[in-house]
Amino acid sequence: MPQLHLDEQMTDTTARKKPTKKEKERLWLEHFRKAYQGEFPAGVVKYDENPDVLVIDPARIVGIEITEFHLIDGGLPQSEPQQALRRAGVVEEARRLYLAEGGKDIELTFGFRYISADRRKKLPAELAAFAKRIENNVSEMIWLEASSTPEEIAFAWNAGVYQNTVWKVQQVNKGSLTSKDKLVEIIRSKEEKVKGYQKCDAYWLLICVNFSDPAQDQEIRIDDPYVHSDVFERIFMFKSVFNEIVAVK
Amino acid sequence: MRYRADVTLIENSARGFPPKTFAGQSVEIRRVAPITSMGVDGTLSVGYQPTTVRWFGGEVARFEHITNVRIVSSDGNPLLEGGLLLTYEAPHVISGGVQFQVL
Repeated sequence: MPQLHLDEQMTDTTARKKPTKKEKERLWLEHFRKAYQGEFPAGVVKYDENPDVLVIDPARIVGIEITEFHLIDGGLPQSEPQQALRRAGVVEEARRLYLAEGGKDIELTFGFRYISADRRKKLPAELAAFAKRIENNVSEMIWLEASSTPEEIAFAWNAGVYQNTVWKVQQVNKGSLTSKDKLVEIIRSKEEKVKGYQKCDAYWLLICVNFSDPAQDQEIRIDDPYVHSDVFERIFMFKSVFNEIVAVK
Repeated sequence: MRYRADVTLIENSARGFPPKTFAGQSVEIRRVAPITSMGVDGTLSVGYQPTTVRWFGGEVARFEHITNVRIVSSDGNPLLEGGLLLTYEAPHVISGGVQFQVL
């Protein structure tokens, strides 16, 4: 079996089951160790709980905590996982409405803006009406301003009528720089948790960013990444695919 | 714009199948200008847009396992080379041929 890239291993759900939390932690640490040019703690690596990894050397034990940097907590409505669910639901309902009104069997692709809870209910009908308006604009990219109707649609592509058509979402996400406030929030939260962890001589924190996950992808090379911590000896941000490492402490 | 051209369908895989070239074909190529925007890291990003091709006399079945397409005009000028794009349209039947996209 060919070696998959880190992001593929994290997200490949076609041929393999999704990796467990422990499998992901192992992948992150292995890839970080390969990419890290500095001095990694000497000793035997043991995957554990609280903290996630122990590097055991007769002289000292280093505990490494591994976490992923989600731009927005996954449970919040504005997070990418929640928005993805809304987009899929809206498109499915809109297609049903469009076909029920005698629409053609066209293939449409939509790019969305943010969908609020209020607009989620009204949007399928508006999208079905929009599909009706563009049903003859075949094979052209249709860009919509935020003031257009529906305001949540950024662009659409009508492939026309052919066999096995579907309506689908092609999401384009804006890039963002790592938020220092969010970074500090993650570190402080982990500092609190470490108080209940097994005793180690030092703790490291590895904050990972999965490039291929739109809920995480961000530019981690910010101008001033330094964050003080009395708990962690070293703190790193690590981004897959690019193998970028930013020393936060 | 319509051209007389050689269409080469390429399967970029480990199966080792050679490219298939169909000489003297009639194709219509519709290009869209790239869009640009400033990235958050300060570099200008270029977003290339799909090129839509109508291949008159082509067949959808030819595109099974195909990943890349090269089109060279009959006088030898390269017209198009890129990956077969399935994001917006799969290769599909049109009147007298097949339509597909390349990026």
